[in-house]
Amino acid sequence: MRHLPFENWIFDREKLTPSQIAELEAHLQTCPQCKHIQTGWKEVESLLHTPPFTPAPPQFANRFQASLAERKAKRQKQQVRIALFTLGGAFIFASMVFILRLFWTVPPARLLSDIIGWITLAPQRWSEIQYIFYYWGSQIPPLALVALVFLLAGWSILLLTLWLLTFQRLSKLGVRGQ
Amino acid sequence: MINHEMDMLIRAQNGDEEAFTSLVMQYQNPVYNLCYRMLGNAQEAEDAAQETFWRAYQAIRRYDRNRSFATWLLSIAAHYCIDQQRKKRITTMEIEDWMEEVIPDHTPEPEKQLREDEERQSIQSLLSCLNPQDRAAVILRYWYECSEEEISQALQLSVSAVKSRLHRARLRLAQQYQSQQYAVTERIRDETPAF
Repeated sequence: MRHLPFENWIFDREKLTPSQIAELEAHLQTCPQCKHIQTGWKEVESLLHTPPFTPAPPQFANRFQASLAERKAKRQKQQVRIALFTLGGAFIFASMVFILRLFWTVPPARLLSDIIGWITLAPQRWSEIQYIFYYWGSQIPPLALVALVFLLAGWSILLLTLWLLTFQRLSKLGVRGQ
Repeated sequence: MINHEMDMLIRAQNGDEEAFTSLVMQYQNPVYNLCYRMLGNAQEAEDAAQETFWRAYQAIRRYDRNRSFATWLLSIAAHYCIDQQRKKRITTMEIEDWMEEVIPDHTPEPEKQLREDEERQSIQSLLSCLNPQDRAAVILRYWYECSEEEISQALQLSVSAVKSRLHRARLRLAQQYQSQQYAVTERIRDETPAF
């Protein structure tokens, strides 16, 4: 059975024309599902018609004033702290630059050529590191290697499970009281 | 907007704390009521209402005076409560609040108080079956008599999205009411010795 226009009409009865009301009434006679919704909605509507307005507890505005002063003081402290940290950080950075400048003997061209040298030598260094790993890896007995892999995998699974559980709990329940 | 309120708003935007406090006094009930309806818990509602006014205080300079101040404030409260609900994902009321609502106060009209408490509890229990955004739409529609346009502004949704949310919420409320009634009837039947 078709319910859609009638479901809407049940909730907006005051907007209906007399012919639509008659059509709705005829539908309600034959459709128990819509009749069920109509009966329920009538009761809910009467409850919502003049719903009680819950007033704020006494002294609400006074508590707001007190908390406003507290929050403003907290915000001010925070701003002062941020400003001090920024100034301190800037001072330390400037001092470090100054000290480095005093003791810096390497000319910039040399520094640049060294950096280029490190970058070009990087593949060679990488292959050397790989060789060291392969060499020491071949020295470890196979059984110890398997045990090490199992140990690492076990720890990874355990930590990952714990992390997932914590994440799920926090995202579903949130932190109560905050 | 009345002149006195506009004056207060201008003063508050210029950093006058007293003016802002008078706005708090004027709007504390609507904001608290919205938070209470959204969260279903007196303490959480108070915290949310306080947080709403603090956020409003921080953003008051950015408030556009061509918009309704009440809608702007309720929008802040609704968004905060929706976020809180998403964090909690717990829709049931705390037992202390339930007791607070069920046990009548010693007021001069205990019967009236009891009836009001029952109604309040019944509405709250119905609202708790809705998701936070649908609940906010219903509260703004029925408690604050906001139009669909105003709700769309407050919740930052399109008007068609508000219409569809209201439709879905009404349907859910009607079904929930019927299933609650059915559960009550079943319980009474089970408790009656004749059965």
